[in-house]
Amino acid sequence: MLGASVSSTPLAFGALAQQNMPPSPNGEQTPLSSPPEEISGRTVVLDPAHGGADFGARGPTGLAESDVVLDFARAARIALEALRLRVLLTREGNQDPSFDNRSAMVNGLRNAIFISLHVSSSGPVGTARTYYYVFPSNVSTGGNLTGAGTTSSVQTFSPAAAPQTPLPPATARNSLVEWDHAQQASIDLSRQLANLVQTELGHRFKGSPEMPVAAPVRQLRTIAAPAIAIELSSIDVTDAKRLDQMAQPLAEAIGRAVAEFHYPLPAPAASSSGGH
Amino acid sequence: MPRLWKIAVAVLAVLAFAALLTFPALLRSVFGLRRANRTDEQARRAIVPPISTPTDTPEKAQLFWLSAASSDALEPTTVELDLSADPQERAKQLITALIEKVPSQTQRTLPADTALLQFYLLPNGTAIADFSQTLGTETPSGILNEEMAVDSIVRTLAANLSTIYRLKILIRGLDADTLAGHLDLSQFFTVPPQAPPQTAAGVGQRPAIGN
Repeated sequence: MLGASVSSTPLAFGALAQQNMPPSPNGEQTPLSSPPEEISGRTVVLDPAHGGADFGARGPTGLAESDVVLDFARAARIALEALRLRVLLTREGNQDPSFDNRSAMVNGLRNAIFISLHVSSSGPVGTARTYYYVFPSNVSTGGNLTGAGTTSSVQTFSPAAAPQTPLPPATARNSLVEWDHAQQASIDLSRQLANLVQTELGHRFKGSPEMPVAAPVRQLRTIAAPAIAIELSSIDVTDAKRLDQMAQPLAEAIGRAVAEFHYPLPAPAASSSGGH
Repeated sequence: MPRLWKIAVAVLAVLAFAALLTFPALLRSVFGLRRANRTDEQARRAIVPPISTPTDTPEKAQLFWLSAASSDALEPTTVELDLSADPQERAKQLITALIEKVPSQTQRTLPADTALLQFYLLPNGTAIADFSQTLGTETPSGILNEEMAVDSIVRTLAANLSTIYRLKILIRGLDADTLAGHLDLSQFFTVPPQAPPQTAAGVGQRPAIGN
């Protein structure tokens, strides 16, 4: 159990559209400006998945997912720090923290968001997917279905099937959040963040789905904050450069999406009862 | 020819003769080792007869494998199977076919060596599928791959059985944290209601129980 960090005052980060971002691959230049003061104080926890003896997916040339995602995280950190965001990595080297240790890192912070980075074993190379958590008992498999007389592709674990979980009361300062279901209270925010990230990824990685996918990704379940997972396809390449080339667009996409994210601030102390 | 050469040739001839004598035994040992390297699942399949029940009738079933055109989507394939009227046996037959009758290796969603160890169907529509360890160890690591694996099971059951409301996946009888490191197996997966393509007696009604 952990203490609920409940927030109620959404603060638009829209002003961050003018941000310190490098030019996008299509040559589009973004005006540089100082981000507003509200950005500072926020923390983005980047989670390069796997590590240690757990290599994750392995490519045909021995390329390890754990190494690739660490490079992705380092690139994303540079983009996010340019926005004056505080950035933490769940691992800086070849360690393998447990799911709970990674969760504990973000659950101990206020106003943090969590982004887990992955590379799939297979799938269309050069595409990217964003996932947010859906509790399995609420999953309705719309299916990434083709054929059967339909040409449309519907997301597996469709976002439309995700639970419409109400946020807990804003003043529930003393309420406790069950560790195993810590994500429950943040699902709406996670979905918002996932939408923003997937939109940005879609611009940069052609062939990516238009919408994020709601799926029970284990790492996200115990995060008491907006949390998403991004998975790039795929490790199944003979030339590692193809993945290297995805690092910078990925970093830009994360930076822009985080900048646009309507981030909740903690309720003002005056508005809470029994504030002494 | 110098004497030393003669001795060397004689020794080589003896060695060659000895090698010829031992070669068949060596071959037998190698083949024996190969057989020993067969997985538990292959050995099990060699001795366990296919699942069949007295009520089996040939039916067209919809099975969901990866799309031949896209590795991030599933597509239904109609396969003729002998299916039982008993929903529990029918589910076993469907999942076994999903593993064994895949049209091509690129369309596979579940590892070839995976076995469905047990399948239970409770009266309230809760199904429990217990798979061998290889489901966790041989499924390619990744959110997408694991999602496709679970989704192929769920959609196959949904398309051919209307008595299953939700599914719990176990690995070797135990609750697993994840499938292969990503997808959460700690809770239940909802099996969405669908009209099965062909219904046999006793498999057409969903339970009214909703939890």
